[in-house]
Amino acid sequence: MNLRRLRAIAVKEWIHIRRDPRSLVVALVLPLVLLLLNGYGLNFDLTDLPFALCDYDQSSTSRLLQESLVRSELFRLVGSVRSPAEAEHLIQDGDCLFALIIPPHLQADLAHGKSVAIQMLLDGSDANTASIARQYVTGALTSSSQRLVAEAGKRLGLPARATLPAITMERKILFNPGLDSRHFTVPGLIVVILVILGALLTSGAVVRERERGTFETLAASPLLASEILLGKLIPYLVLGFADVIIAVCTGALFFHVTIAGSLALFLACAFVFLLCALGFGLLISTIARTQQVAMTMAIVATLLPAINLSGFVFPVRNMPLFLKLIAWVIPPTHFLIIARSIYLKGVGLGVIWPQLVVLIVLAAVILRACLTRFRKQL
Amino acid sequence: MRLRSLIRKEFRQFRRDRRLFGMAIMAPIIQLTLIGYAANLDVKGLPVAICDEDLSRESGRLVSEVAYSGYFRVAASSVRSEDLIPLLARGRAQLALDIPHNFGRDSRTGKAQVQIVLDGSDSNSAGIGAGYLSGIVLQHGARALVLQRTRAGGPPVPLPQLDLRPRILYNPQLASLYHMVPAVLGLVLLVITSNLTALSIVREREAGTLEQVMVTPVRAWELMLGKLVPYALVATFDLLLVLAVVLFWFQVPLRGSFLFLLGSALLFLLTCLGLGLVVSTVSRTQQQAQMTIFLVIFPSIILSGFMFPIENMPDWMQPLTYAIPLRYFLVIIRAVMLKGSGLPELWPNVLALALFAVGLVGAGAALFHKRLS
Repeated sequence: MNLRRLRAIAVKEWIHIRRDPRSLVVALVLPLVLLLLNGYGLNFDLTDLPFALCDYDQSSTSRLLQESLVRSELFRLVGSVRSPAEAEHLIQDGDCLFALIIPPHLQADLAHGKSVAIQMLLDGSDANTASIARQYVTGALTSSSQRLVAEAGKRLGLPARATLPAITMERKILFNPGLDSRHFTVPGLIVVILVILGALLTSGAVVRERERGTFETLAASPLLASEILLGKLIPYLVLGFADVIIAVCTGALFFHVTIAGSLALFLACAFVFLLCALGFGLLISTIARTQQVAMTMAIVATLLPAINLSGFVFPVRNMPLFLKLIAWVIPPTHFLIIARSIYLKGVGLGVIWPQLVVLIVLAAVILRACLTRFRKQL
Repeated sequence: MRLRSLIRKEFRQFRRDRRLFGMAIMAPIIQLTLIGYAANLDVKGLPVAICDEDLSRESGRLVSEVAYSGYFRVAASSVRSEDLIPLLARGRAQLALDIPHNFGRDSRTGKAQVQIVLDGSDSNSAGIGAGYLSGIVLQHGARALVLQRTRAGGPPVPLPQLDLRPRILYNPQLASLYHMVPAVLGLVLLVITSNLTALSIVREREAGTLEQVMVTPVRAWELMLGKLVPYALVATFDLLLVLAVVLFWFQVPLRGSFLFLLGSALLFLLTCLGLGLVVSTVSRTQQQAQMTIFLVIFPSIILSGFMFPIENMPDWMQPLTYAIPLRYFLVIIRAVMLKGSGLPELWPNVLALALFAVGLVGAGAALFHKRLS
């Protein structure tokens, strides 16, 4: 490998990038836009769930129950209905997510110490939202229930202790005390954006030369395959690293999600990861025959796997075995663990070294594969 | 006649690049599998670490209730209290239950206390997991209370309870699959159609063959249709393929009208073609076209409600979603398949899609014309 020749290739590639200002701007603005859009749009913390109420009891207790639901920010009362059928209609039209049906004699039954079942009609079509909504309503009813039990106990003249829960619980939340899902999604988003951007940037790098016929010129030159590949990679590494920094700053400025651990360690890991991501794009570029195929492949092969398989949104532990295996060989899964650990838990190399080793191995394997494919083409 | 030879030319190019052909078929299948099987937010088998300092019969019972609840997997038992936090930091467990000394004795007098420690970094799993864990502990406490009262020989005191009886409509098993899989259809159409169309036109411009075709007596609209029709056919093929997989492999119910669904899908297909056309006219190189398409696709995934409900977005963001054609298509396909809705409920969405289709194809055609002349 000759450093002078390497530099020449890198400079040539840089000129290509500079000549296309729109792509350059997109490459630098993309992380900002994507992070903002997703940071606000991807939110697990559901609030204002629309619901309808069918109150057959119309008593002070049922009104109290309704108030306790409305007062919390979690629910929003869309309207009262007179029958479950009417409620079902509202759900069908998508006007509300669920409906609660309070049976007649709620107040009377509770006063006699009888338990009362409240029916919930729930739109299950979006399963995730539905199960979170069920969880919320269960929680709200449990606390109402406890209050009612305490009141009943007082009426019956029981000692206060007898109606309190026998075991009290203390909750301690580490790393993200507010349970704000943004702290979970922002580091993940940085990972996803880097994967996609990496592949987008380099997926055209080799195949473009082939399509334009300049590939033969390169092949005829005294350049080594490794020099060409590395030379092509370097400008994109610089660009990708700028993207990392833009993404980290955006997360800190707009979402107040900052790195709890060492920034230097994070950047070092990000560098290794960039090698994987850009290398993967290059690999696509050496496989595809046209830019059309390369670029569509880059989107298909990175966008969804990075989002769905890496654990960015959906936990890897829920996946069937064959997907788990794929998840464990793709780089984003490992960098995601690193990113979240450094961002949220502030841990150091002592904890994340296994993932870092895997990333280094993957980077080596991907770049090696690029070189083999590329040599064959030369 | 001229149109037919243009279409034939495009298909020949298509056939010559076998990777393109493979991708058009494989991409939808891969995407479906990834979404269908991976998209699962259920909280099951959460790794929990347990520190039982009491080691009494009472605490043992609580531990086994946690272990056999189905929600948790005991990742580490008999951990020392001070080791719990490092264990969570290393990611070995996501929750920890800390049962102190004298738990058994205190629970007989109703003064027992336990601590739940959560790794809040995955806030969603942590919150739901903590909910389940508290539920188990509370139930255990309630049982202990009843036991204690009967032991004391007092009469059983009836205490009122509010129970929730959920009846889940449309998707009783709450399978996320039913929600996500139909939506993939929209995404596949968007990615494949708009991307391939835009790139195929820009490629000719880059290669300089567009000028060659222009000097022939082929008219602009013929040239345009010659580009659009082949990709429309490929996309229609993808549409049917994905629908078949959704219905027969994933067995998502189709409760509404198939024809209505197909009609809306074709309408959406038109908007994707139009989008590809517009992008192709404003891009000089394939890389530019690619970047531009991507700038449209990624926000579409988020803003369309593909993964997260639109109602959950901040208020300033929700109006933006109306500018995303995918949004309307997702509403339609999900409602038709799961709720059995039809035109009476969905007409505003169909209308919006139609407007987008006409607008985008019209704008694309006008721009295409202008660039050629």
